[in-house]
Amino acid sequence: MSDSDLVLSVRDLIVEAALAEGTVRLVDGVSFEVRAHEVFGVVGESGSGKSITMLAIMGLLPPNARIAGGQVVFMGRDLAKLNEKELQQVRGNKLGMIFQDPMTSLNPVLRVGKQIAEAIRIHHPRMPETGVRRRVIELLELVEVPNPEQRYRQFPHEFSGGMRQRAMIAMALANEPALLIADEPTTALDVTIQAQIMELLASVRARTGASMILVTHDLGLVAETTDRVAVMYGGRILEMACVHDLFEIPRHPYTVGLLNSLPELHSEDGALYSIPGQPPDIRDRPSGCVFHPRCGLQQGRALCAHTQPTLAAGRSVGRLVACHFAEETPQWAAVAMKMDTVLEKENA
Amino acid sequence: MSTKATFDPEAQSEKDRQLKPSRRWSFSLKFAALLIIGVAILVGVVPFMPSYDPYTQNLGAGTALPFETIDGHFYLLGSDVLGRDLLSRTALAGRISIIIGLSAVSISLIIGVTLGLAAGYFRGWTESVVMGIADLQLSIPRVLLLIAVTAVLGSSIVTLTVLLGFTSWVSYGRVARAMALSLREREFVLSAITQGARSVWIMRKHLLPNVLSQMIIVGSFELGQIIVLEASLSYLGLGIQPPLPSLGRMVSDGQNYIELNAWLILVPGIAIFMLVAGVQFLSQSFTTEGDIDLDIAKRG
Amino acid sequence: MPRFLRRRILQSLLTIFGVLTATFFLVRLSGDPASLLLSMDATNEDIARLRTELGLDQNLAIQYIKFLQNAAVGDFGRSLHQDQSALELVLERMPATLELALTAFALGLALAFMTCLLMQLSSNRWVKGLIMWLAFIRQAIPVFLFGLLMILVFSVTMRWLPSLGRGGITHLILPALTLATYEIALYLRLFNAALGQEQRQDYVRTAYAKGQSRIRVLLGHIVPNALLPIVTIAGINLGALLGGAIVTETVFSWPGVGRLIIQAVNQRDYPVVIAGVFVISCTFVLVNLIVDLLYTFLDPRVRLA
Repeated sequence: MSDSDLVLSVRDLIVEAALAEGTVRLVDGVSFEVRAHEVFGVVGESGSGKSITMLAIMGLLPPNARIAGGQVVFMGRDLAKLNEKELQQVRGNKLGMIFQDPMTSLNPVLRVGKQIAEAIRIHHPRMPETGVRRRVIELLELVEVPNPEQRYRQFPHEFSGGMRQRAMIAMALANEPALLIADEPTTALDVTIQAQIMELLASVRARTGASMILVTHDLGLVAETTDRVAVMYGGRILEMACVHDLFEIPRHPYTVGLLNSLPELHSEDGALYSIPGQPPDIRDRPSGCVFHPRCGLQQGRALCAHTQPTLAAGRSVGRLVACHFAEETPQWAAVAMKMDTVLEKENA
Repeated sequence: MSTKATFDPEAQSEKDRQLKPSRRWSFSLKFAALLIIGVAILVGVVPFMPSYDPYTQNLGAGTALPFETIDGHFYLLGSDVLGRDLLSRTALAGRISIIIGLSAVSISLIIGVTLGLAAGYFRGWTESVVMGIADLQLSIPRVLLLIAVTAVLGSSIVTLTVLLGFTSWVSYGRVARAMALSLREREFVLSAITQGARSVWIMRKHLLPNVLSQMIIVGSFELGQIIVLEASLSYLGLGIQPPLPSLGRMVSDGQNYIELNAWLILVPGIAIFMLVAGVQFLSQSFTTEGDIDLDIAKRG
Repeated sequence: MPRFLRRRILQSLLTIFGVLTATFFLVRLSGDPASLLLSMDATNEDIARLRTELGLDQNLAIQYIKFLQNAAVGDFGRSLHQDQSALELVLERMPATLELALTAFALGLALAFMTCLLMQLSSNRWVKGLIMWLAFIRQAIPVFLFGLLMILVFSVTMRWLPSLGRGGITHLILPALTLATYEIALYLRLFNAALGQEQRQDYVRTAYAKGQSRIRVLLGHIVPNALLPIVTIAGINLGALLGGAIVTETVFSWPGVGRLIIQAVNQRDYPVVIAGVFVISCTFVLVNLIVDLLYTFLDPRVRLA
């Protein structure tokens, strides 16, 4: 895997925010890579820092937050070092983003066609009017909006939720981005529409060859769509692997807990599992391993509370885990979580 | 369903800011306290002083400046053109303004809450009629409405108070109606209905308490407005009539002598300001956000 | 004609009709208009004659209908003190009032806008606090008092500007400023709140995500949305503006409709009072209608309702 294969390389990213109580680290040393043509999933609960990480990459952090350290190398340039003007050239151009709530993400007083056209005009200011309009219609067709000519002149409130998200996707794809960041793109949509949108994203990616980062809390979505996955918690990445490995043989106790909390249709005792405890207050992060207060694998061992585990390579290639006792995970999972299948596969 | 990034530092810090009382709030309160104490002394202490005398004229001592002594009489704030003690007149006029203000607010509050709750609770014709009257009243600037009505009906203290009360109910009515509309669907109301409670009882026991806290906010703001209205009317000559002194009229009389002695305007003027500003700063301190509810403004 | 437009126009006509009716009954309420209009030593015959003249001896319903009929053609009777049609008299003064009101309105918005910009640009929190505090103080000073203070400072003490009458710009400055600054506190809070609220919306984030520049986002996205509550609230406030104009005219002896009405009230010239109230009401209703139309023009979500 050469570096030219990499679309995005994030190294030791740190994001800090100035809150009333002082400076808080929202993202604490996050590193990952996205390769060409792949779908990279970022999974985590609310407050894990996954969305902030994406906003940091785009340079769209709120005014009281900033990148305090690390690199964000996109197509050979470190975005963290660019000024606003330079970032504007990248955003919406080769780097696109779609957001969670399509209902509020479109400007209600401007026509949809105009908003999509804006995405084009910003980066191709000299394109003639007719060319822009043609391209917008093309994009609407690409995202499978029926009657694009008519829809062009309509306002967002005349679009359904699913269609608005399609319009958002059209906007993000307008300039053929190399990387599309999708932050919970289907969370606010009906289940049936969700499937359609994910399919659309898949087909669009196939056509344009773009890579995608999919941020979500929905493990099912991750299993279906992504190639590689990072699991975030408390502003850090705890585990990173290809999706198959992650689901079959999770190495981090947190991942185990997440997987175990998925309601299974055929489960025997019917009780839903949830990881005991609360997500961490990042204003007062636990010392050492950020997960240790809730970790069943810690078993009182002081190392977990003392020393922060680094995201290190595990047994197979491309697997990274941040846990001092990762080798013990499969046994522990089998016994404590009744996840025998994990142990079986481990030994297979 | 949250639409923002899962942890929105901006929203969080906004929330945190709201939890702490802002500095501006305590400053407003201090300033309001100062003004109100000043007014309290004016209307509460001055009338009991031995030199208090708002009516005796002394044509030889007209338009005296503050701190002047004429004919052995010390005028703390000067005298008007007829030689009457400005301090005393201002004190009495201030009292009258406050009484009218508080009474009018009470009247408009009662009318507004009653009509508003009825409109919001009963809907249908009641609502149409009430809102129709409100629209009608609002279709004419308040000052003009009062001018027209006082022109015809006169302006004794009682008449004025009643008129001010009757023409100022709409703000209360609107808020009361909005609350009634939202509360009438709530469980505690619905269960009261199923238990056979009568409408009036429901409105009194269930809706009213919820509405009152909002009314205080509206009322404190309206009090300032009413005092200004009364003063404006008096200035135009249509408010309190002589021999009773009124702050507005004192200003208007003083305007004739503006070149000679500006204090004739400034003394009642400052009194008006202290009264209005005190009330307004006080009402400002009730609302922590203190600002315009833009969602009401959006009709989308 | 779109349905909402028809409805609004009908509403406006209904309101004007209501104002006329209220005015009619108001005057009748005060007792016998005829005896009010004549001096104290009028004989009963004089009063009776006047009553017949004014048609007051007829059935109330007939009087009402006649009143409405007359009003429809603009006949509000003749002024009792000046030999002229009441309506004519009022309309003669309208330009003066409009000049004052519109200047003050535009000036108020412009001042508020510039101050708002100043506040946004200045990162100094102390400055922002001071400006808002000053605006608040201004709001606690009634229009007539502020006008007099202006006269005191600029006419009496400095002798820079005239204190009464209508003439060139120099005569317009003080009254217009008095009126304009009255609402500035409201407009400042309004602009700040509206712009601030829109800044935090999701569509702004989308616009930035497209790579749009700050200025374009402000002008092309934020302002069009911020205008909605601004137009609504500014519109609601026009009533206060007109009311303030009436008082300001008296302070500065500005020859407008407001001052005319006050004089007519003092002279008991009822036809002029009624005509004046009617005209101002109509103006107000018309302006509200325009504001509503403007709003539907700005907000496409309402247009199709």
